[in-house]
Amino acid sequence: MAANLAQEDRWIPTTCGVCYSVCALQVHRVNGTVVKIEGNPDSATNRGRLCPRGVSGIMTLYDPNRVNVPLKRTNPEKGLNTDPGWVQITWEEALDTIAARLSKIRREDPRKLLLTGTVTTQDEVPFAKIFAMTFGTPNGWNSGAGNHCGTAEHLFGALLHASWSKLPDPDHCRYLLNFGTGTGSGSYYCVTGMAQRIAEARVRGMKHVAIDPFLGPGAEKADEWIPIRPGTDGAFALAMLNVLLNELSIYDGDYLKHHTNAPYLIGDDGLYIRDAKQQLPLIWDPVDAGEKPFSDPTIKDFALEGEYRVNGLRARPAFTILREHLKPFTPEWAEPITTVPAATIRRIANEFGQEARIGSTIVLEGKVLPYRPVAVMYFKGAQGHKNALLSSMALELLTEVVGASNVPGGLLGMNSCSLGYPETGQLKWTPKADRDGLMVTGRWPNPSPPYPPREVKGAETIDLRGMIPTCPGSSGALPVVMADPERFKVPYKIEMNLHVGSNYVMTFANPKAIEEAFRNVFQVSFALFLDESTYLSDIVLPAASYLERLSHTADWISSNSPVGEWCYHVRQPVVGQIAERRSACDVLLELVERLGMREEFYNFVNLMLEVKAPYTLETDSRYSWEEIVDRRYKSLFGAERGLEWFKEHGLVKWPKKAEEVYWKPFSHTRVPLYFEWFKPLGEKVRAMSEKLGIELDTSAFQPLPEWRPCLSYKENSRDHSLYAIYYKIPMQTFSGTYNNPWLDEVSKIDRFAYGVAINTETARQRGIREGDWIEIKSSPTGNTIRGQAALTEGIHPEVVAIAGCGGHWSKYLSVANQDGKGLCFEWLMPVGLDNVDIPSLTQDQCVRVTVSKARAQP
Amino acid sequence: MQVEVRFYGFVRDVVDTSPLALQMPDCCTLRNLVDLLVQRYGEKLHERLYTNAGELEANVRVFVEDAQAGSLEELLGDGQKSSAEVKVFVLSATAGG
Repeated sequence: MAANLAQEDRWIPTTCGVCYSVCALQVHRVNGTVVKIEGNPDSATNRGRLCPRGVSGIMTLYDPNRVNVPLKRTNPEKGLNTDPGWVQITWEEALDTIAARLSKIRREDPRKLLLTGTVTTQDEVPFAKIFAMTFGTPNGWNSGAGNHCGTAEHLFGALLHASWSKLPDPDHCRYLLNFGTGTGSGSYYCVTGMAQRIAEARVRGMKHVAIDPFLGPGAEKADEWIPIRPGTDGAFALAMLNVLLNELSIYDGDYLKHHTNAPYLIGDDGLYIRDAKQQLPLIWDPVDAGEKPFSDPTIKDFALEGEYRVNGLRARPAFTILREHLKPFTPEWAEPITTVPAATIRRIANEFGQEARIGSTIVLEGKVLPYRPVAVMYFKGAQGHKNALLSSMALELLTEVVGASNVPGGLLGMNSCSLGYPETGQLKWTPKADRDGLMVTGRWPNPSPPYPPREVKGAETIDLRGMIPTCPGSSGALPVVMADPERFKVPYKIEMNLHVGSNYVMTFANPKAIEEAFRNVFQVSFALFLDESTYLSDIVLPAASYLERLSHTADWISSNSPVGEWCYHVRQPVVGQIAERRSACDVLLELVERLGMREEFYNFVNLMLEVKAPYTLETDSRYSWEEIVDRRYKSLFGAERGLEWFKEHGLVKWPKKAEEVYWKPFSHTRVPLYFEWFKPLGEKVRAMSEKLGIELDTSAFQPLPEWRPCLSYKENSRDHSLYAIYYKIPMQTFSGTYNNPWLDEVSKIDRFAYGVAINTETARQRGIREGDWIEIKSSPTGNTIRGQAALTEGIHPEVVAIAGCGGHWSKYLSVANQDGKGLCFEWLMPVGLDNVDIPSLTQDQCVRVTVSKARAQP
Repeated sequence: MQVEVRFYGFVRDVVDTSPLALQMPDCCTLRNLVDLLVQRYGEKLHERLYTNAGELEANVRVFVEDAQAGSLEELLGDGQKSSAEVKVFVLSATAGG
């Protein structure tokens, strides 16, 4: 009998899809049922490690709350608390309805289609993007533009690191200055692989200094925690830069001369001084005592300091201007802004500068390379503010001035340079220099990287990205423009939203304002659950989860570890089809046929997915999703490594070379220390906005950093004396995991996961005790949210911190919608351009609130 | 020479995306062709394809016979061929974190 019970017992390699890290999995299936999920030790990405979310995927796979059949709403009235009146329909009816809508829109004006998605559907969204591109719309919104996305950080990733994101070199870093990220703890890219690597780095002596309002999941792993007022990280960084350059004179002159525009001569108009003949930026050669184009082979040395006359004009190296610019930003200036003592800022600057070990080298693979074992990390916490661009610039320059950019020990792009898979030469990219010598990113998730900037256009898109080319991806302006396109001179309205697996209602800002922007749109959702965003849907399709679908695009540049080996995985179904659930990719292919888009779509697939001869899709054949994935694998990895090979082996990997990981010393590209082109770009944006009659504050388009207060900083009333902030936790991803019973169980154990962190003394002053229910009222929105107080000394006294995106209210989420399952921070945040950093279109995520003990205690 | 042009992507709102047959002089450049297309479809197409400096926007890809063109100054034919197939892709961006 026992033998009959265990007819099948298999471990299947695939990849996780609960966050953007794409950890490799081994899934244990017995008699067709998944019984366990573990990390795959063969993978270079996570090296067998797995977080609570990865382990718990099994509970989402079999969750009885899952959407299992296509549904359509019967209640025409839409609202966040309005029952849509779902009724089951057939796939045929759903596809007929969707195709008819799409066909009409495509005929009239394809720009009326919007695509929304999120990074947790990283395998399906890229394919949906190809669909949207083929369709002819420029409009897309990864809903992470709210409280998830790095926005301005990604912009500087492109400009300084040729990459979407960065991580510290875990093999050689000795001093990690961490402004509020979860690197090496519970979030951010390569999460579990880096957690292990950072732990190993600490064992070998790396110091981790966390600068963060809250001693949360990231900071608690640090050697030192420095509490800081929210939104003031840029001021801290500026003061550090001033100490490094003007008090300690610590900077990497050799790096600045050869790998940045620090020696480029700047005129009094703030622009490069160029040679008359070739219009190339000039530098000053102190040996020959004259100006030369930056690329002149006769240059003997580059002046970083001084003042010169060129063509009768005053000319100063960019580095000199930076140094002068920083002088007012002393630690004493920063102290009242940040609340960090000036002496602490000086000490950290000194430690950072000394540990950079400027001048030292290391030998790797027989090559002598600069050794700069310091790195500065920041992401949503430090960047997600009204002052995103200029604060990010200050934070980035810390790494640049000490030459710790893409060298051993320093901050590494993920993944800036790839020499390709050895057997085919595919997956090859490398940063290149433009005419001004500045670096152009080799590979970027969007069709064009932010530099060189695209032309400033008018009202092309529904989110101002056409007008503001420095926005790296998702735009914080979308709900504002979508709610009132005429105000922004957009000549169309969004009529349909193809919604691929995000819960944008809960993750951007005030859900009520988001509802207003989306309520008149025909929304088709590929959904695992009937979450809050599906309350606005007209049709809901039962989506296959990552454990039920096939994908070739689960890996992207930021999911590969920054060091070690290249590793590309397969995502494959580990169970047969459950109910009527289908992969979005399969469904999109069906829609392509119904819309008669095959020829166009296949051409786009060949282009965007790098499917090359002899594997290109031909128009006279119709391909299944499996066949497309197979062709892509063969095109990238050779005829022997098609889909069947990947299904069996799970992944392909090969060693990274030193010149891929530490590519900067091998590159002739320069990066800006002085962002000269921001100034004319800002003038173009201003001219366009004036032409269209749109009020935009373009003053942050400037070449050097400064600190500007967020709206919340400026509001300092007795009534709203505290800041509310949001942070990520290791056991939940955005708003998509709260219905998972195992994650619920582990969240209950951690009093901060569902509670509100508040300083003990701050609480005492308000008569609040541990576990009391408290009310948090937003100054700008007037909304109030409730949660249980979690008292701690480990939080800035002016701050309350709210974890993740809990506080669900959908009646279809039976685990998540209970009282006390976290709070939805976004009820506190207003929607509006006043709260958006214009150059990067970043939505601010800190707000002034009133906190009081709730009158009614359950 | 006979040239067949097709547009793809974020350009449907300004051009007809069905194949377009054009008669072009032998040894003309891609720029000659794109300029002719702009003449035909007007300022909106110009804005969608070109930068103010007269180069292709970074999100525009042009393929001649399945090979991506590196420059608008490339010759469309070599003087020997009597026809060419040109594909103009206008890509749109939606990535985010």
